[in-house]
Amino acid sequence: MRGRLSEAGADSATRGSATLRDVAALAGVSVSTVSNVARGRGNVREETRQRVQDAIDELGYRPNLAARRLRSGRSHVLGLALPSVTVPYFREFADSVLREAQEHGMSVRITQTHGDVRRERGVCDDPYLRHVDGILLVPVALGQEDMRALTVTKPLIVATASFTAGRVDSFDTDRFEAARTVVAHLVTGGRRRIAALAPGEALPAESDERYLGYVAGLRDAGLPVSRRRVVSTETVTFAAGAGAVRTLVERAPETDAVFALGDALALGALRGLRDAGRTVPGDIAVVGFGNVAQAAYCAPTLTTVDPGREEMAHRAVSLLAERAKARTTGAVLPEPGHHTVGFRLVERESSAVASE
Amino acid sequence: MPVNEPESSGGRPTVVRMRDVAAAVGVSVKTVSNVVNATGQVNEATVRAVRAAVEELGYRPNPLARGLNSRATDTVTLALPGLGYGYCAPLAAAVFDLAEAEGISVVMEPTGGDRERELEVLRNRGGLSDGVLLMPAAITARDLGDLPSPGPAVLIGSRRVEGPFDSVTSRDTVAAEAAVRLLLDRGASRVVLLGGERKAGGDSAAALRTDGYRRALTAAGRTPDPSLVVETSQSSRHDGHVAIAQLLTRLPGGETPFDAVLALEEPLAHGALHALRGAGRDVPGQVQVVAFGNDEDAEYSSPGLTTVRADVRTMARRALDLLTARVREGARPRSQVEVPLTITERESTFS
Repeated sequence: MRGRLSEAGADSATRGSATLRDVAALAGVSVSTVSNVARGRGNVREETRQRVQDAIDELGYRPNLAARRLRSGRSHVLGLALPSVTVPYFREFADSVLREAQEHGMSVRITQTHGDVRRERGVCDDPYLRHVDGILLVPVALGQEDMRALTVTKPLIVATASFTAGRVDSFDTDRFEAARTVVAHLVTGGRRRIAALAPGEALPAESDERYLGYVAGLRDAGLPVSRRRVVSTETVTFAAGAGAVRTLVERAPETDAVFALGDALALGALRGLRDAGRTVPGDIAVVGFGNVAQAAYCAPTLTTVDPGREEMAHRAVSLLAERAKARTTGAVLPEPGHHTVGFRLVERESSAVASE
Repeated sequence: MPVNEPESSGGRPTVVRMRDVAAAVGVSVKTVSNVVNATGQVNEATVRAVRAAVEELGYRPNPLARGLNSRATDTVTLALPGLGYGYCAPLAAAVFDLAEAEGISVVMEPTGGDRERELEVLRNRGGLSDGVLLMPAAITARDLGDLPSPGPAVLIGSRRVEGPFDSVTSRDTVAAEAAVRLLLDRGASRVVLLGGERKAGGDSAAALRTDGYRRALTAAGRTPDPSLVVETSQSSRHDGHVAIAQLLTRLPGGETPFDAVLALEEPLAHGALHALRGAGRDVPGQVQVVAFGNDEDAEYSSPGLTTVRADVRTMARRALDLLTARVREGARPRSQVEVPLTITERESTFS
């Protein structure tokens, strides 16, 4: 809360620390008059208003946030660390978080981790997230081991990942069950050679519950797991999805269904399959994960898992606000733990049973 | 194809950024920042390596970054209506990337397009940050005239609001004009403006783009048909879908009462494509579609969507540079930068 940088040569050390009383003394008016002018309220004569304004400017007085923060000892800013704001699912999640934060009178400091495990692990020390009351982290690279080693120095909530470490709150849908449900849905529709597009370097991370759920789903149906039909992608982007299905139709042309572990991959896959001359759902069914807005409007519309994004944002931000508040009020809250959010399979055209 | 000529700035000199120094030494941007600004603890060998790289590369600290690091909060406030609005998300991503490369963090302050919140951000009295980038959705020139001693700020977006602030605006009117001209060139004669503003004289993004639409039609000797300017309550896919579906049922004979759509926000266009598909209309065969937008959805949708795209990276760069200059020089003439938009043609228009 030191000086603004606008006025060249202004002495920053003396600016910004002025109180309402200082302004009132300099302007020769009452404190309530200053308050009225600063807030643009009340009936104040123009000449007085100008005098108060001059004093405000001279002293660099700042009402509102500064005072509120001093009173509460909090910054009223939430940190949100997520891989990228341009990936549709994360953008929509961030937008939900922004709206929820606004409900709690908080603003949001966003940082993009670009899926870098070091940035995810060091999120509490992230220089871009200093002075926030609490952090909401959406990890994509962090494993169970990293989570145990995490230094937690402020309220931290992990969203769209489940951790049993118990030192932080986490919110997620049951990804394993959701993936298993997807495979069961495809099997019911007569699909047998079901491929997976999964983010991960060489092979999808064994920690990706969705991948494990996919494998379990195949086993449930007595179907073999074929490595040829598992294509890993470096990123969760449209381009990666389109590229992955190109690889897939070459490597495993018999594939009759694709489960993409991310809607961006699925939307890219729809386009990639069309370009490869395959029809969806006629030749190949496609199912995504995330239920982004575009899923209901693409051609064909996309069957996908709705992981309860809105609910997750709502519950996570509320809890984070509560935990941040509890730090200054000393209120006792339940121990951190995992919170499960329900999922829903949204059936659309891309996985329909092919008509004769 | 560029909608209009880029400004004749003659190409910017290559600037060495903190990120470049960090990469040369193999340390983090924060470490370089610590050395340059004499903050934090850095071991002697690293300090020497960073200084050598600074010298060798000719790095000069960004004054905004230096000002922020040495004096105040290291932070720029980015105040946008929300991420789901217009080109906010890609613009935000560009601001994050460019600012963080300088060791500056970005606080996003969602305004919801609310006038009071926009003004609150401009007053910037909380010491939340040292400068503000605001996309003004609601405030007017009159509001800005009444604003007591605002902090450093740059207005960014489609709307230009006269007042004390520097601004970086996208040239939406010119771009809409070019988009309509393109549709007319490709044989369209009845262009629906989806998400337009019927009332003339406004200065919202929708109004500015509607202006361009009318201008292009008038320039081509056509009279704009008010029934083709379709207002929507929001810019969602749902709204676009409903609006186009209604237009299609207007004529009972099954004839399509239009042969092109210019959607002023990309989600509206995806809704429109969905409605056209549902009604069995071929795109671009029977109806061509163009949308303002920056999303990857456009490139990967079927058919691929022709877009009018804001150059958010240039906008972010120029806005941060203006904020830097404002911080360094304090009182200086106001700058108004205009950035052109670009039309990317895909399958939804005839090529």
